[in-house]
Amino acid sequence: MLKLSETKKRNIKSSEMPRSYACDKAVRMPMIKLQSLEGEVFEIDVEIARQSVTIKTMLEDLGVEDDDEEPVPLPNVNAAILRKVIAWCTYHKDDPPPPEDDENKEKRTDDICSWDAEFLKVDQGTLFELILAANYLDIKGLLDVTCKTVANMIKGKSPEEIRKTFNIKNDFTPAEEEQVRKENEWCEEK
Amino acid sequence: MSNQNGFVHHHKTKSEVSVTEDDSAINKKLPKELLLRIFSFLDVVSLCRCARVSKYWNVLALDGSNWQRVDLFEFQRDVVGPVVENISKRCGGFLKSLSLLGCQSITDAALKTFAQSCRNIEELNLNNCKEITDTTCESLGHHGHKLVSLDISSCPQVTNQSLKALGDGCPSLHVLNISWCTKITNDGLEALSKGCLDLHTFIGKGLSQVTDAGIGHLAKHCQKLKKLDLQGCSSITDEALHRSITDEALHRVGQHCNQLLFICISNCARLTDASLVSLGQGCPNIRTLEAACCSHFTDNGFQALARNCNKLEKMDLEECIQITDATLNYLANFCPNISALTLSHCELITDEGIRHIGSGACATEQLRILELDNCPLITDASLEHLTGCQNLERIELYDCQLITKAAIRRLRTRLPNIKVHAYFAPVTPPPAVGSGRQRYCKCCVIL
Repeated sequence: MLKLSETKKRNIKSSEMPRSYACDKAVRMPMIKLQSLEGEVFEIDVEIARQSVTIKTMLEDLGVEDDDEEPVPLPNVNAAILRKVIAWCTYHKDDPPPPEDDENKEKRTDDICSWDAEFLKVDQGTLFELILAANYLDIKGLLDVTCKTVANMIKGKSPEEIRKTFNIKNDFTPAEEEQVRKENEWCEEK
Repeated sequence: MSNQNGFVHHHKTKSEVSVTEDDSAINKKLPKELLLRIFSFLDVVSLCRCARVSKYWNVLALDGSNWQRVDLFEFQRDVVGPVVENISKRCGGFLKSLSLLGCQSITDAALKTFAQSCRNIEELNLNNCKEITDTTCESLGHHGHKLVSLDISSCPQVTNQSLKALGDGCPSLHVLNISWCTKITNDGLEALSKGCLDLHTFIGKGLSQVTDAGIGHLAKHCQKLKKLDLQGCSSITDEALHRSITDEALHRVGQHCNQLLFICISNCARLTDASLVSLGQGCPNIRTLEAACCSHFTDNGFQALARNCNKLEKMDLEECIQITDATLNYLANFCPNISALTLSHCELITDEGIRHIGSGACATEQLRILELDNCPLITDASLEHLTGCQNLERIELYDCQLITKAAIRRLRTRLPNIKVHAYFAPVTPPPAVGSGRQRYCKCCVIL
């Protein structure tokens, strides 16, 4: 019978272990450890983690094995955000892979599912952090839905309302503002 | 992606914009490419409003990446030349697709500026831009070498000169719609087809001056044609004499265009069975045939067609008044993929023909739409024959005076999802001396 220390060194996957040993362990999915900025470690199902193309690439190209004791460091993502990203990926784990970005396809923002809408009822700071994390981890579905959410916060608002929503300073002089208004008013309903 | 078309306000450049003074989280936290990604979900109106928010957002909103596809259809009332010129300068080489559908006051001058500024344009819709003349297509021929798809339908001032300009300057043209450009003649089609060899979609409804020779040129040079629409290519001034397209045109099509998938010859009333024979021989891949009002077609022609065109899916045979149940028999035997069949006003069709269809290879799963309105010989028996068509979605029975409500109810029991379009006049009271069964007709007169 193989000793536990020997299996660790050789990084044998649980499915490859001799039968007598495998029966001693509870049957479980391959897991992977992710470490946030602060050092907190999250252990999640590899299949869920693979929604992140960044992590998926690491697993494939760099030979990072599941069941590795070493966590994958994600210094750009804090624990609170990482927890939310994991929650999103867990809910969406059975989604079909998102289609390739088609430049010619009309981009909609009215197709956010109700779970996502609820999930994204957060303050702006958290929303922007989620966008950054989704971008860094390359999770297209999450990136799209968070960007659409912000786009929906812009649609239908006047320039002043947009400024108020995002606390943006109006740095045009009155003359500049008038010129910019003239250049862009053609699409407004008369 | 940065704005490369030199469109710069005098009062700001990117280097002058100071983001660090901005308190807003969105500008501090998100890098430019993520802001642009958010903007990529915005419509034209929202983008123009964002351009007024601040200097930084002005630069972002006007970034070329946001302006690759512009559709001004919603604003057509107000779109005038200066607007198009403004957009052209804004989008520059990024603009790939522009729709000016229905923008009736757009002139050649605006489109010339557009062509000069937006040389990467691929898709352009100028349907109903009634003011434009050949000058526009000349501009496109000079500058728009990447043009792939153009719609200049209902632009009545366009002449052969436009087609020559396109033939010379737009070799990548794949899709062209010149419907209702009634000044076009055979010479224009010749010039076009010699230059645009990759054309795969040609829509030319109502080209009343085009005759067989013009279609012949098109067929001979554009052998990759997949979709050909020649509806109503007949003179509207003299119906008796100048129905311009004859069997000769279809003979040429059959000779050269073996990749044809869709053909519309509706209202080309001079065509005879010889055309169907040509299509049968030369275009075995046809999926859709629209032949409404081709009143010379008979069962013989459809036999020849059906034998060879086994991939037929949709057929519009409205007012092909000579066809009988025999045609339906041929279709049932040879065309297993038929999903939509229009037989409106085909007055010789009887229940027997519907029995053929109902037991044909297409019946159980393929047939979705069946139009039998104004087929006066159809009775309830036809509906019985269709009960096995599990995917039948819609059936038209207007003016099928022998169909009863009971039969329709029975059909609905078997096919719960079906939409049945029929009209039954409200009951009128029987005459005082009553005898015999009441019959209802559309004019509410007791027969």
